[in-house]
Amino acid sequence: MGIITVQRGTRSGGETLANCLGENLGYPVLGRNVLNDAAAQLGVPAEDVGNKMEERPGRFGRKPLITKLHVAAVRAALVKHARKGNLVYHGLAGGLLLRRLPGVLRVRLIAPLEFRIQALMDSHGMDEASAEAYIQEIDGARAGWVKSVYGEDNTDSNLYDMVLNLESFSISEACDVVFTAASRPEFEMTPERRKELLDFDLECQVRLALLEDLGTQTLDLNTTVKDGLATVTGDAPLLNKGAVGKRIAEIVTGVDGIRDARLALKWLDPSP
Amino acid sequence: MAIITISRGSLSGGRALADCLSSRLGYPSVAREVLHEAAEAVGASEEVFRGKFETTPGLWGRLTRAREKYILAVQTSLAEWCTRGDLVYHGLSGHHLLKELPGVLKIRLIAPLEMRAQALMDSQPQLTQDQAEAFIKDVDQDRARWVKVMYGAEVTDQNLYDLIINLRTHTIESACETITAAVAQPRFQITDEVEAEIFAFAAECRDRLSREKRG
Repeated sequence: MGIITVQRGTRSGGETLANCLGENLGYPVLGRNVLNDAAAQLGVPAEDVGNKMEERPGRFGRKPLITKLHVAAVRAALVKHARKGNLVYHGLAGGLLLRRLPGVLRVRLIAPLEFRIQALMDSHGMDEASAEAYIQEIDGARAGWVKSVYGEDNTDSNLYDMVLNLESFSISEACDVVFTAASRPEFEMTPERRKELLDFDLECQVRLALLEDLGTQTLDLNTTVKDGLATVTGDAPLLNKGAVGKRIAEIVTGVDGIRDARLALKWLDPSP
Repeated sequence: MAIITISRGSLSGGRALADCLSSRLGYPSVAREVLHEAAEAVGASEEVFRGKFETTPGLWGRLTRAREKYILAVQTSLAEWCTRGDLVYHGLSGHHLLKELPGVLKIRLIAPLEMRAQALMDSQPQLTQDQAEAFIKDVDQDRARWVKVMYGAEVTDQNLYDLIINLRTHTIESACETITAAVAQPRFQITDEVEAEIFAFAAECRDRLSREKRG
């Protein structure tokens, strides 16, 4: 039992690999359909969530906040599926969304540009130049998104546990190799990891709930959960301190599974 | 039957992985042996040879003819090892030196800086964490520049390798098991055609080296 994320450039065979792994390991496979769950939670079209997971969020105005909200919703939806303990996810940003979790096997697939162009030409009947331009555009947008949201370079090997080059492996060979890695004890869902996973699930739900609430969404808050006890840190305005604190506590304890909340906030005076 | 090259930063567990693969697959594991034979082939002491082959030219240095000869000598020596059959090579630049050969499994091993610093401090307890990390960063930068000068490539370019494994999560034993699964795939087997290409490649390397030696 374990969790595998497959990250790849567009048309790099990620979905096929994920399906092969799912079949061989008997794990459910999840991809862009997790966006539907997130969209249902936010009450917006799935397409909007998809766009927010790929477009650069920008630095000013409400755009970064909306991206944060959408990312939190996708992560909460993904972790809800992962709670069962076994999953192959080939959707957007999987390795990064779950990077706090131990025992997740983060795989990156790379493939030569020609291979990806051919795949796109075959599936969409595009000419070579259009297919190449499309791939470059999507790659650039995704790299920009990862840089903006996580401050990381998505081609950095250190973000992954293994990187496979499809110039050298067919999908079924890559599937064999990842299967072997996933069967190793490092990636087993142990009882300790299951507990961390359940706490992480609660953390994600709390984070989403705080971002959904108009009274708390603009605050710079961070939540950790251990054994169902939530600790909220971050900055909050001194003005109306009692009401803000009460609202945060209400939201956090309102999440099913949270036993209690501890606020360790830094109260800032906006006009000292 | 296969050939595996392992590229890694210093103190990233490359030797341990090569030893594990060697004992699991029954392949010889070589690194220094290749350099030793290459030094002999050009009549240089191993120390001088290593100095020329492994150190990066100065700031304004470039790939001189002497350095080219040394690279060719290492390539020839490694090609000779390949003609003997199965091999795990964990010395410098295996993936570049054998890039013309089909069927070679090119592995890159990476490990977090803290893990590598700990390995260094274990062998040199007088070093602090900061000193160990600074030393490793220095070596990495030097190595990256060496690869750039020698081969015009970025050492971190994922496209140069077939499989990259991160020791942050994999133990050496697990990396070894995963690579064993990778190398068992049909395209990494030394078929008669691949063997013929290896012999042709070794002969070509020998010819080029003897032309180079004649000057």
